[in-house]
Amino acid sequence: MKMKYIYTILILISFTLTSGCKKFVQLDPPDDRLTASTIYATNETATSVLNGLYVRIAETNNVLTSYATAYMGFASDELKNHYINAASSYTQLYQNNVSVDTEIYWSTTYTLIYNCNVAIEGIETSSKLNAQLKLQLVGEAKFMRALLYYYLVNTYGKVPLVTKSDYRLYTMAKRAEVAEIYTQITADLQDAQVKLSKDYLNGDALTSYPSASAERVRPTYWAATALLARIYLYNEQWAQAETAASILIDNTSMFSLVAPSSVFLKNSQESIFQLQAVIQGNYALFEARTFVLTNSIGTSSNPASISPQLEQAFEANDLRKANWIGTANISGVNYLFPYKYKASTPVLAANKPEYLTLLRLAEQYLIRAEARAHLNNINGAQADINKIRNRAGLGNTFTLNQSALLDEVMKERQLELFCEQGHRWFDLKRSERINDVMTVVSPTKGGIWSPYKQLMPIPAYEIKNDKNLDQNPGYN
Amino acid sequence: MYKIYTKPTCWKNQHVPKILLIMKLTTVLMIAIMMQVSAASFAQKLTLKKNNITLEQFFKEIRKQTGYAVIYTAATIKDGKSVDANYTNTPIEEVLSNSLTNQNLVYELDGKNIIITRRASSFLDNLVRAFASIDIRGRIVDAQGTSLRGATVNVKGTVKRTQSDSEGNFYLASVDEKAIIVVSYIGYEQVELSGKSEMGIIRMKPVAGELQEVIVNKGYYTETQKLATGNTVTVTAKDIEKQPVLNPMLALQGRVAGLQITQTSGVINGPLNIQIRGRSSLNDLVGNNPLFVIDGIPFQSTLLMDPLGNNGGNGVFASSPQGNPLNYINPNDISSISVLKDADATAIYGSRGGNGVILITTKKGQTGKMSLGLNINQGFTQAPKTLELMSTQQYLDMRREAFKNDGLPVPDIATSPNDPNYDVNGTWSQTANTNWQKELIGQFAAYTNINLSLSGGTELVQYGIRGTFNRQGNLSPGDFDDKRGGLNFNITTHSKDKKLTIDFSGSFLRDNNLNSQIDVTGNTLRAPNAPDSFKPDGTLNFGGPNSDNGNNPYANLARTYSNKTDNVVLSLKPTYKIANGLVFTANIGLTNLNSNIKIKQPVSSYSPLYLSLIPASTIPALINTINEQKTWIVEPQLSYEVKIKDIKLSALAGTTFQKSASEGHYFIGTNFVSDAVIGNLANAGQVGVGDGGSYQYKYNAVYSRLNANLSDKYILNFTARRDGSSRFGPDKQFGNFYSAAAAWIFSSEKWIENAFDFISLGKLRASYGSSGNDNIGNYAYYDLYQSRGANTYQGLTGFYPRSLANPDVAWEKNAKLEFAIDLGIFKDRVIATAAYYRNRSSNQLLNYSIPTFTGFTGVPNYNFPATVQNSGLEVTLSTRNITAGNFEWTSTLNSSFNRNKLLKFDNLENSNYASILEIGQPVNGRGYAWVYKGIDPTTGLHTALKKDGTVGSNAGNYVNLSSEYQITAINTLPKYFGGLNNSFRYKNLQLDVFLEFVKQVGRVSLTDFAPGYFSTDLYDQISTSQSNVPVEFLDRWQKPGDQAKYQRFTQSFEGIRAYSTWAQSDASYVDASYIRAKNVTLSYQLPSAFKNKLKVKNASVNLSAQNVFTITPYKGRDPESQSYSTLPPLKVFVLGIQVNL
Repeated sequence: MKMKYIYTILILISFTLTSGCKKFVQLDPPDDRLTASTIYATNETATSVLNGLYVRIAETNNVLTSYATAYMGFASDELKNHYINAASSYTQLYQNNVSVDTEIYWSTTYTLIYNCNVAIEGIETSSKLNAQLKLQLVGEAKFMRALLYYYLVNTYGKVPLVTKSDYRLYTMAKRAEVAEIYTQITADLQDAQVKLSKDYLNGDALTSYPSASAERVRPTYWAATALLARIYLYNEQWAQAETAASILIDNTSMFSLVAPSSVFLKNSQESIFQLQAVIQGNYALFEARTFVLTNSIGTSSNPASISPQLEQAFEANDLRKANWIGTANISGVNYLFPYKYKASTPVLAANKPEYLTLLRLAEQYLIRAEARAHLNNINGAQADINKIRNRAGLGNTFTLNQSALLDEVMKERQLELFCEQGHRWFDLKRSERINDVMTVVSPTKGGIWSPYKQLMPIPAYEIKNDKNLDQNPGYN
Repeated sequence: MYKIYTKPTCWKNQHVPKILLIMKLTTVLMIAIMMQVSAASFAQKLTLKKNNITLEQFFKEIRKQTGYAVIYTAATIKDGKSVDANYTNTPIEEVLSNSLTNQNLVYELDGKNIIITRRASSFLDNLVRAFASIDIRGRIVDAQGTSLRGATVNVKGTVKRTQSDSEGNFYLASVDEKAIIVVSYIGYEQVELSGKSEMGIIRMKPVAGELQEVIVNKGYYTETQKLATGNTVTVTAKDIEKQPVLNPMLALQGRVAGLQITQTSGVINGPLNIQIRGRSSLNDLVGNNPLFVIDGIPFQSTLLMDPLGNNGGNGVFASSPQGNPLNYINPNDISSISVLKDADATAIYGSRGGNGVILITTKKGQTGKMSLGLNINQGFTQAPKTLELMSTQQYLDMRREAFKNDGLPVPDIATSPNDPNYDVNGTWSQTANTNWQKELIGQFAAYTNINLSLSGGTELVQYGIRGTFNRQGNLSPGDFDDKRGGLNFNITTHSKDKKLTIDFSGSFLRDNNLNSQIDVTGNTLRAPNAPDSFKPDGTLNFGGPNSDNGNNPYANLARTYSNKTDNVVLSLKPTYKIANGLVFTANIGLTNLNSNIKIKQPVSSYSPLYLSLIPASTIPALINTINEQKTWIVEPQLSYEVKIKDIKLSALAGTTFQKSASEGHYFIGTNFVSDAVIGNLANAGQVGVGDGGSYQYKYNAVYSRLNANLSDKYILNFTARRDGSSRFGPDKQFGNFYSAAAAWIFSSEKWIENAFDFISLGKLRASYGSSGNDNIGNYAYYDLYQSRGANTYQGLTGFYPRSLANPDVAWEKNAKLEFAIDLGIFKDRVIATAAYYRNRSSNQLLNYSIPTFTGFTGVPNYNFPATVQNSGLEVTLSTRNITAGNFEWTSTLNSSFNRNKLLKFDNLENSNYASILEIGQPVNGRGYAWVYKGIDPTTGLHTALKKDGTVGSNAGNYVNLSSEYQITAINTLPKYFGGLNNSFRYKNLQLDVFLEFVKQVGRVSLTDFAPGYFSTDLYDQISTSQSNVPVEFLDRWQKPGDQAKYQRFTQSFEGIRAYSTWAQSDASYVDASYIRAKNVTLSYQLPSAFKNKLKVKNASVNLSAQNVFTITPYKGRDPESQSYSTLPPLKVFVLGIQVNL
């Protein structure tokens, strides 16, 4: 009798080690989150992944929203730094003395690229999505990926080329050659051209806006083409650059140059792709918040003014200077500041007057002018430069000499595209003018120029994590 | 007799009858029946069905059935009527009151004696009794029959006493006929007997010491300490109740060997670090908290995020007054806390027991008449120590010297009107001298704690109800009370046959904690000449047009934090005895913790300048988070005990189903029209919704135990658990955990008994086994996408991938080994335990760092082939030093020596842990620091060693592992820690002094800014307020060649970097050991006479003080919290009164 119980217990004990209620401990994903298996299963949630990417870009500091503009502005001859602090990235870039511990916008950019990669895979493999939507979303993600790699390759040179979401494929990745990265960018953009809509689309990425009131905040065929024009230009593929830019310039029903005061307003006719201002009720665009000076300068939040080099580059009566540069009197001193984006006080997202303009028609004119100059189409180049000069209230150029014309394009690029996502720095680099310019400018900023400094260092922590990663020459 | 003496007419005539009477009484007493039935029968119940029996027969029957001695004189029952008994298994009290009501007799239960007396004795009756005295003699021997010399024989309630002689004989003359004789001898159990002329041989039993008879709660089963095979330490209400603390864990500080509790902030409900036997996880994010179980119900020890983004977590990151959920358990409701440490004790908790288990048992009702207890404590709290800061003159001199050192003129507002050095440029008074420490944290705050309890019960139903109210003020000026009220109940009912027992307990606690958003302790380092905080009209003074007083500390106080938390714990435990030895029991319970936290940021609390720099719509604001955590558990269990010859076998098996869920909501209201309406989110012009986070956790297990005990000498104990947790990947959910333990009570061996008779208990025990740690976040194996919240794109919500999924995530495994010896010597006057343990935690859950170009910095909760070892020695010693009559002195000491090291880490040098971990070195408590190289004799700045061998002064603001400077690791883990309690009792007066001690190295934290620096950054609410420094810094470099401890005063950025070079160097790691008088309690029991007069069972008053004083060489604010900017653990002084009716 007694032993019977013991046996029972012993059986229970052995049962202990063999059983377990599997079903009970299986858990559904939390109902406040989505998982990879559910998010690509409906049109709406799949679209929300791209919308999430745009919000993520628009609401944080990253390469597109302020870093490229501010950092490259400091590094080149566009901005003067007033926030002197050796630990600050601003100061390091300003003095062209960037530490290997400073990351600039390495990891944040790759985080956004991951977002693109995971979206491309999820959407391409999903069988439950509207076919047209699928094309659009993959096109958008590829366009964004190309845009982000454009910044990486121009900032760091060779970088790891990550196009899949599975991290295991890349933990020991090497840096890809620059040409390889451009091949990927070009392929992405060409594929995006095929996939993307020619209309500006609503938030559902499916239905078109009535053209008059279009919010130009989703990538389109036009955006892919405009960026492709820039990529061709950077790769000195002049004919392709001219052709691509012409596609934009010729679409006069959608795009036209507008008065300087209206260029950066939301839905401006000049814009090809803008990022919607999304931050609710908080401060305006990062650009305006960082650069617009009111009553203080030299703090981490208001570090900069316009550099003397940029100020002096403007001709008298240049409307761009009048419209895009502001003046503030702080403690009796006048400071000039970038004023393309003016709304520096906080307003609700719906009331924000400006959207961050990432691609606009003026650049396309300048791309075509440069391409034509290289192709020895002097008249065509002049016509394009004059479009830009006239809009700025300046007279025509009559330069015939190719190299002088190229200098002029460069000058117009400097004045037209100043403090816009690092154009000046990248232009100096690709035109190989950087050493001449920076050898003069860098010492005025308290720095010493060396040609290796045109590439930023790969962050040291990254090399520690991946032994196969090498550093750019010059940085130890 | 009655008749005669109730009607006395003349005393004189009564002499003769009285003497006769006394003689008679003596005779009667001599034949009075005092029979002690064998203690084998414990049934205090009577079954008797017989009519018309005499009282004498009736009492005899009671004796026979219950073993109680019924004491009466023949005279008492002389007039007794016959009894009609009709009782079936009726409690003795009921029987007696039933049968005696019409008898004019009353009974009194006194231990195992039932004393029968006449009701309402007259004055004379009493008087006679007073005269009715006897002489008593007897002999006292020990268990072996040896005479005991010097035993005290005392007549209870009188001063009459004597001692036994060398033969053990004693004699007491003229003792009341009804007297109770108390025999005591050190090391033996006290004996109480009814007095009679010839007591015969009185045998004394050795004291069943603490070690031997204490019942140890091990969660799924209990056992006596003597027979225990594992390591469990129990702290009882006696020690918990004395301490005026709100969190029961604070009452455990220093009291349990191996349990380290660090209070990182003195803020009410502030966070605690709780670790048993060191840290076993490499990852900061993996909880190292033990498992907490209250009355069988697992209690979440982590909270969700609070509105400021502080993760309640394991308290590591939290600095907010939210801390951990154990704040919401009333220490006064607790009857004991058991700390389970080794494999034998913890393996039965499986994947949750790796960090040890803390079992909290609440108080239960007790059989007996209804008893009402009242406990009122009133006192105050106070900050323990103030830093000696510079006076205004010293401060301004320092600032001027700083400018001089930096080669700059002292700024003057007249010449440079926009200069922000308000303290020296003439903007601020040069003579004002505010003691900010006194003003901001120097107040006394009231402390009130009231507990009311009601308990009682019959044989079948016991109940207990306790109510509590607590109020603790805040040291900062303002209305910041923490108020809490709670109710706790317990009902235990038994079926008539006692086969079924149902134990039902519940507790509810409501806490309403008001505080300021920011701990203003950091603000106490404001410049002493900073302007008045208020304008004459009572509004906050932010200074002139430049808001020079923009960082007014009262602005921080005006941003209020209110945390309303309700905590409910309910537990139901039915037990059914199916057959002899076979018991079914189930543990069913639920917990529910709700908190509602509101932070108000009124516009009036911000300076005009600050407001001009931020979006107008963002202030005023109301931030509101609502959190709910729920758990239910069901654990049916079957246990069986049987004795086969000399072997006692006990076995149990059970299963657990548990589900926990947590939900958080985060709202921020902005665009309010004014401060007046910020109390309600509905008044906000705009409400943002944040990600509050929610999760579910499910857990299922089967567990078992088998225990074999041979003659109470050799004991084997096996436990096993197979459990599955939803936190782990699809095929990794289940795992097996086990332990095996053995104990040998060698003192029960004859040859030991003979050879070492001074050993009262000797036990060797060993255990080995495994348990796990599943203290990680939920859903680690899912690819989760999270909403971007209120910011939408084209009006639509966006989602983004939140983290990388790791489908392989499994628990950390902790293999534990322990050897221990328990000793009781000199009849348990000295009880000692020494335990050696070695815990090896493998399968470490780490953040697997991957290159960020993959999109993420790491894969969270990745199981690494790394092993962390904690090994050490724990010693506890309790001694009864003096027990001489009225004076008693006892001590308990515990000390723990833990060594933590990384044993194994595959491919460490190639991992990104290479720079922070080292094989053979501790895994936590490593302070990384620069290598200090003294003050540069020419620049006067601190220097540190660079990797290239040179020295420099710009090592930076924080220790950066990839810097050009050399880094050294410093072990800040305690070398040893423990506690020493001394209790002194003289008659009714008792003094308890409990000292906590820690031997450790810690960082001296005096200021984060270079002495001489004055910040004007308006966004930095705290730092601006910190420009004053301790006078310690007067020992500074002034001119080339100076030998000084600190660098020159400086206000330059370069100087700040150089100061950080020192403050982040090994030179800032100092001896942070301390001895703290954790608790001193003086209590006084009111004398019996007084208590009787007041008609109370028990009454005492006590004076208790917590954190009374600290002896330490540490120069900062507090060696435990080690921060100049957080409130250190507070001193508490209370006067308490306890009354039991």
